[in-house]
Amino acid sequence: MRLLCGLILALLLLAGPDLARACDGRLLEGPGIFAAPVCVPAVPQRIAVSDPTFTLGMALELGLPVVAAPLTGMSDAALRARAEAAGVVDIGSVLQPSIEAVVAAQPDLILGSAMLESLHPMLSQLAPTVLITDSDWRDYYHTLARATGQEATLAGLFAPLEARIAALRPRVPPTPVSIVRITPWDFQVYPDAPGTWAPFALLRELGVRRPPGETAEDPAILRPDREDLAILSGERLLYIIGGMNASASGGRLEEVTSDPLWQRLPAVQAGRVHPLDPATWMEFSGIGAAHRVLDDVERLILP
Amino acid sequence: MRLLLALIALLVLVVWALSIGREPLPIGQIPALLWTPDDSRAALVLHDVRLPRVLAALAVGAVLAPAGLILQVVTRNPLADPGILGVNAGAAFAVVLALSCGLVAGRGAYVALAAGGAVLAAGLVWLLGATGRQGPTPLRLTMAGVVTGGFLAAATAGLLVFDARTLDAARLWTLGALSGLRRADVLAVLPWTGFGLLVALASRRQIAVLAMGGAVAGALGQTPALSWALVVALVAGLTGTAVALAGPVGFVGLVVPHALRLLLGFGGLPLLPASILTGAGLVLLADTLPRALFARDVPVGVALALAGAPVFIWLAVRGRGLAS
Repeated sequence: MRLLCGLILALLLLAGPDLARACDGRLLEGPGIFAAPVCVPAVPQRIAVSDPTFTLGMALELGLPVVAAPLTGMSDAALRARAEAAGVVDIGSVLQPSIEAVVAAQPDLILGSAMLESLHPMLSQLAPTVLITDSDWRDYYHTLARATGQEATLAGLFAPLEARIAALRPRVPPTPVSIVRITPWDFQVYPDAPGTWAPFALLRELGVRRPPGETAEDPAILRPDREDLAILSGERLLYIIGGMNASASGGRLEEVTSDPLWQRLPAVQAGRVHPLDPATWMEFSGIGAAHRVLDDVERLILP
Repeated sequence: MRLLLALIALLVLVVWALSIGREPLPIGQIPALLWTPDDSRAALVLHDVRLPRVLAALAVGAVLAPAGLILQVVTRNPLADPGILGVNAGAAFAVVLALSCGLVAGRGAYVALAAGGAVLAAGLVWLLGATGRQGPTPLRLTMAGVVTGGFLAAATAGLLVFDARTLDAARLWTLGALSGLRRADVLAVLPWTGFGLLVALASRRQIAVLAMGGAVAGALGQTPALSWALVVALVAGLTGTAVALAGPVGFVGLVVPHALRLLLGFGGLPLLPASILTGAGLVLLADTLPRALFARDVPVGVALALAGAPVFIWLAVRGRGLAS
């Protein structure tokens, strides 16, 4: 038994340095990386990304050579135009990217979120694959920059944003603000909760108050039915419609705004109802999107 | 007497269902708020959210159960379900096509679309089933229904595969759901529901004669083709009003007639009034119970299948035990 343990230990000691020696780029360790350590090229030349929101937007902001991304179905026209201008090839829908298209793009690095965990065995045979497990958008961005050797560039991008957040925070009024997403089939509220979706996490940082019905301990999306609409009791009501679903056409908004229960909401009665851009709020894609969230706060929430 | 008791039980169930929801609404206040609504939010919730949903649940069950019963009797097929006439598939196809083309997005607009799709599908089934020298027979109509339904279901699935946005929007509705219905839409469908049920009750004799077979019906002075047209229009109409309100809800039309036969000890058309009340109660219960127990809105089609299957198995086992 002792002999067996010794043998295993010796093999491990031999294999460990071997992995490091076999990596001729950089060896990425965790945390934040699925199946770490991953050997990545020192300076990646052709990057494929797995989603048209976080990863695509952040990679382009860092000036990385992105060659492929799932562009089908994305509604952020500005980001799509930037990606196409940078020569990014479409690899299909984010829900079902075409592996053949990824192969054809000949990436030397694949970047994405850990949501693609099940595809890792296949993707990692095509190119070194870094799947990021962080749920907080800042952590995600830092891990992405670390994976591509762009930490200094990222620090330069974050500094003005942090300064702007610090300047805005004291000006945010204490009045509660309601935010709802209208889809063709329901209402969705991203609550004020730890770990909530990026734009709402930014609001939390700024100290924007949400009504009690929109505040929670769990970041899970709330889906109020018509009767529950009363939870949108903020003095101002911001709504997100359209984007990756068809709610902006076909009369859905009219159906909602003509609902007597919607009309009873305090913000509706006071005429303080404003639309938000789904490209920014639902397809949040990095520092640029964060600034656009702050623009909305300045425009719609500050006195 | 039994019917009267069932009616009283149904009324109690309605008042209880009206009290279920996020906004606390004591049962005692409900009758007063129903007859004399005030300006309160409670009255608005009761009249605009809960009452339309309860009425829709009652209407869906009240038409699907007798539609299933009539089909089982005239086709002499104990497994016949309103779905075999292709009506559900037609309604689903119309809704998904309109969603896919971006013509509608609101839940309310589904009602008219589904009704239109159901009528067109039933017309197509009739055309296919009635052509040829023999004219419409149970077998030909069933075959036409299965073919039409299968084709439309495939076309619907094709649309949904290529259009993820529509899949999202249609997902709940295709399971059979009563949430988000507007009062005006429910009120627009209810007269058709009432009319369909009156026709069904009034045509019991013709349906019974037709159930004896085309030759007997002809010998008794009926024109079988005409009677068949009546039955198809009736079943398609009844199912169409249900699918317009809730989407394709299965199970009720199949199970209620069998459950009643097992409980009451007799079958066939005499069960028609009881099937109306039982179907209404079953759908209302299935729609309300998950919200009452778990505060979760479960599509009524899902709740019916989940809760109904074990109950049906129990009834069947119990029935067999009695028989032996």
